Amino acid sequence: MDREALAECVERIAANADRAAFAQLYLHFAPRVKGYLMRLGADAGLAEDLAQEVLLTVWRKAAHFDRRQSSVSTWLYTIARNRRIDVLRRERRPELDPEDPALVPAAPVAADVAMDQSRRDASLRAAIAELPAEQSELLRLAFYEGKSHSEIAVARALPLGTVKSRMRLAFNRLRRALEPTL
Amino acid sequence: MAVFHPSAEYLVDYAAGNSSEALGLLVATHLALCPGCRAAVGRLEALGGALIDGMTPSATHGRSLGGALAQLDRAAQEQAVPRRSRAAGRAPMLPRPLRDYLGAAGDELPWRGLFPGIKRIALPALSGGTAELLMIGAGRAIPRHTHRGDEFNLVLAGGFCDGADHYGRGDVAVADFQVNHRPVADSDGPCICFAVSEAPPRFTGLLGQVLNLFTGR
Repeated sequence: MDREALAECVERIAANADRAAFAQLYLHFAPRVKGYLMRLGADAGLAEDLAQEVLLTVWRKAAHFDRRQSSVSTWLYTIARNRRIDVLRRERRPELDPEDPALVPAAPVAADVAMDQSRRDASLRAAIAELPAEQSELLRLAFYEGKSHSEIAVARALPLGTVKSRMRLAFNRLRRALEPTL
Repeated sequence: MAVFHPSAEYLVDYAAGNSSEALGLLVATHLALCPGCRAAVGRLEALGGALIDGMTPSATHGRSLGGALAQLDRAAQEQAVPRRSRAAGRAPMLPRPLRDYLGAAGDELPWRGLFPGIKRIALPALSGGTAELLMIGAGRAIPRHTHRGDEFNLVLAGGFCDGADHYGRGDVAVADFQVNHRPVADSDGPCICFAVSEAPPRFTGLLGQVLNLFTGR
């Protein structure tokens, strides 16, 4: 399923409590979310239960999804990541609330400079593919193996300062790739 | 608008779900006050989205979907909250992530004197460091000290100077173990900071050496 079709499924759930749309999303994402959670240390049974919870969260929170803000995959990733912290790490998790009156709002971006979400995702993937291996390796360890930057330094026997500076370089390259072209 | 931000490695830790609880709370609170870093974390989360897309599907049980469908009737759907529905007014001093941990509404905080001119509220024990709110009286200084680990200070109200740099609401000041410093609050009012220390500070002046005895450092 392409990203537009996935976004439509979420919107159909929000608008009509559409069970067929939910089933489509479930069959597409539950096995992937399960794979992600197993990769980060959950056993098969737990990963399956959590993947189901993640998809049920999609059902409950469908009205909060905004395809202009993120792709369905990215939205689902944040839900799965949060469940992983709650359950696998058994920690409280600070929650950012978009409706918090203390939140400083973003300045609106003019429509003619804003990159649409699918172009931004494409640019991001292209930029990752072009990162030097030593930088993309760090992002892989962070996202695929759940290691913090200081854990990466220990695991790879690298000075902490080296890990920090490589992450900053990678981060700056990704940011430049996504800046709206004026 | 914040001028001093957490560096990239802390945003990557946060977006990938690998922050310690103490630094995760500091980053989340900064994100509430800094739309630029929120956008940056959003881009990093898109990496996570790409990770999910690229994941080899791990077969789920045949009854998995059926089980989920059977639960839909019990899973009440939330209504969308219209954006910008917030009442215009003064923003609370404490952004929500921090408010949740203090269990307080904001104004009635249980401050306790630490040193003359400095009050503090200790947060419950968190992984990754000691977390506390500090209120430094107008024009007062934190006694000169060094660190055994990194120290992070997020300004929530007022401001302070450390050497040539001035920090205001939303700014994050990072001091590593090499820094021997004496931050001074602005003279026009108290400065309130959320501070996370990976290891307790060590006071270095004469007064500080006495303080070390009392604070067990």
